[in-house]
Amino acid sequence: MKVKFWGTRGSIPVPGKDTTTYGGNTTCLEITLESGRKIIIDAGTGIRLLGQHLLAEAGKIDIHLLITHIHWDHVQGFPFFDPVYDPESKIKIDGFPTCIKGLSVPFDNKMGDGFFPLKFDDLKAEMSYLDTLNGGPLKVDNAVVDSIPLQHPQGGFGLRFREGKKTLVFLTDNELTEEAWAGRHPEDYVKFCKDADLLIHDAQYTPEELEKRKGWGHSDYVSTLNLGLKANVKKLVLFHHDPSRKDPEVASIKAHCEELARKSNPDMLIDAAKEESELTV
Amino acid sequence: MTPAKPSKMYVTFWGTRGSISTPGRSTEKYGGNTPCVFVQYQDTNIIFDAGTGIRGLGLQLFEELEDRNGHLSLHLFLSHTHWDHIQGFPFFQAAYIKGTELVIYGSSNKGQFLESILSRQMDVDYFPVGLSEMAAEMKIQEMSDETMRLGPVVVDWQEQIFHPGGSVRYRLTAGGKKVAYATDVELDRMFRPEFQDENSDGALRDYLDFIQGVDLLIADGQYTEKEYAEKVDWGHTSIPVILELAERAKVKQLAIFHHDPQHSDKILDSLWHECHAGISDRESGMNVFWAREGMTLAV
Ligand SMILES: [Zn+2]
Ligand SMILES: [Zn+2]
Ligand SMILES: [Zn+2]
Ligand SMILES: [Zn+2]
Repeated sequence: MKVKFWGTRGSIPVPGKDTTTYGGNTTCLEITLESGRKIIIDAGTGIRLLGQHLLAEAGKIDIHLLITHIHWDHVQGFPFFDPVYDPESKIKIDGFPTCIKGLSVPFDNKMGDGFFPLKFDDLKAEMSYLDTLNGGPLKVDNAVVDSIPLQHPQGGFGLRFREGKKTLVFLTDNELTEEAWAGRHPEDYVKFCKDADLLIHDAQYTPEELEKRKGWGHSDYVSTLNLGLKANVKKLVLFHHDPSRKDPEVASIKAHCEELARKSNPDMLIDAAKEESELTV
Repeated sequence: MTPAKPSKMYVTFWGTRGSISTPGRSTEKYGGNTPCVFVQYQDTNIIFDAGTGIRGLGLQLFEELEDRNGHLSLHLFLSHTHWDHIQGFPFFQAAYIKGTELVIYGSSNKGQFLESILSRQMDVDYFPVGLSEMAAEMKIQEMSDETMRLGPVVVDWQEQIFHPGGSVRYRLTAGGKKVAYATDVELDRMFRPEFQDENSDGALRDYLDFIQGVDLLIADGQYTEKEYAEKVDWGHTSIPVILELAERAKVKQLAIFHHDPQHSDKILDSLWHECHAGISDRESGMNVFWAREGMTLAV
């Protein structure tokens, strides 16, 4: 499997010179299976350039689009995803049960006061809602995708991809807290991530920032690091960078995690998600 | 005794990009934030639109809070409620400061009221904080009178019909100077015979009157002529048309605004060069530039 980051930023896109290394676009990932099939996760602003890239690469597209939850930063790019205007595009949608509502909300609501000039119904692509992940695993070629509920306002899904012997887990907009109920307790996530080759997890805050933002649905990077260590993952990637975070600050958070991990598991690789970078699992 | 310095309007661009925010290296110079323009005249603070650029403005206002005696009084004028013009609002820190006075203005010519549109944006399903949780003293006002007075600043406005769902243009008059903000409008449909309809002539006259002689016009110039041909009815203007109309109306400075997401700094630089070759031929003396995020003009 390969995973490429098209959007790494949390909450709101942040253009400008301070974010050119780690990126200013909101959440969007491209996963390429061994079979060559593409699975896109989330439709933040990063999906605009991904759409152009896919059309340039393949001419027409036949993809899966999985939506973790429908906060604006995860759906706002959808009207700018060029393949939706191409009648040849096939898009199979799945994820959190409200995903179709979320993908249609940026469009015009037929009252003339919408957020975008076009209506969702005007889109040309062949889009279907699979409604599989809500009930159990989703099979895509030789890969299996399953989900876990997120500790996040209004909920959401974390996603695990298994193909051959490899496991990739994507958990964003997730607050790791002892106060969570069963099913969303840190121990539940440890189980879900156990021995993963790659874990990509929300690390929006510093521990100091988290003190003031408990219940907002995001983790501090130390909690995220501890999840990676307890679950014995091979590589941890910090994700959903706070809008206020400048590139050097992201780099120093990464360095701090490496330093903290050195004592307990010096072999675990740690990185911070960088827009346009690609990892092979 | 030195005479008192005449006051000026200070106009700062916090967001210049149209349609969608475009982070990345290729937009560093002109900026990737969606529309937000801040105008300050003496103690009157006016904001046009709440695109992603308003986040930076909010942080700046917060930093200046002490210099402003711990108090903010802000007037936010929305051109319309397309996403690129309101998406930054939930991240406008000034609206979370208790005691901030914030009046939001917009057209009443809408299927739903402005307040319900803004609430829908901050509905619990899509955003974790509700509109009612913002601590500022907020007033949402649909405009009815033609002319408003905010202390020494006179605000005029008009509806623009040539944009999907409509939009509003604004003009500020203060200290004998005029600044107009007229984005998200398809002037080609008003001006070019092949695209006109029965409303075009009237709309064009109103537009030219409105911008007549303004010291600064911030205007939609999203497309090149070639791009426009593919985007007829999308609600935006081609560069040659805004140049022609601004010159006709004897505009002194023209800021081309609402840059297309596909236009990198390199493309915008070359559009500027092309345009300046043309302008010197016409010798109108109008100063034309492409609005850059972070730029402040004194008018
Ligand atoms: Zn998010
Ligand atoms: Zn979220
Ligand atoms: Zn716009
Ligand atoms: Zn618009």
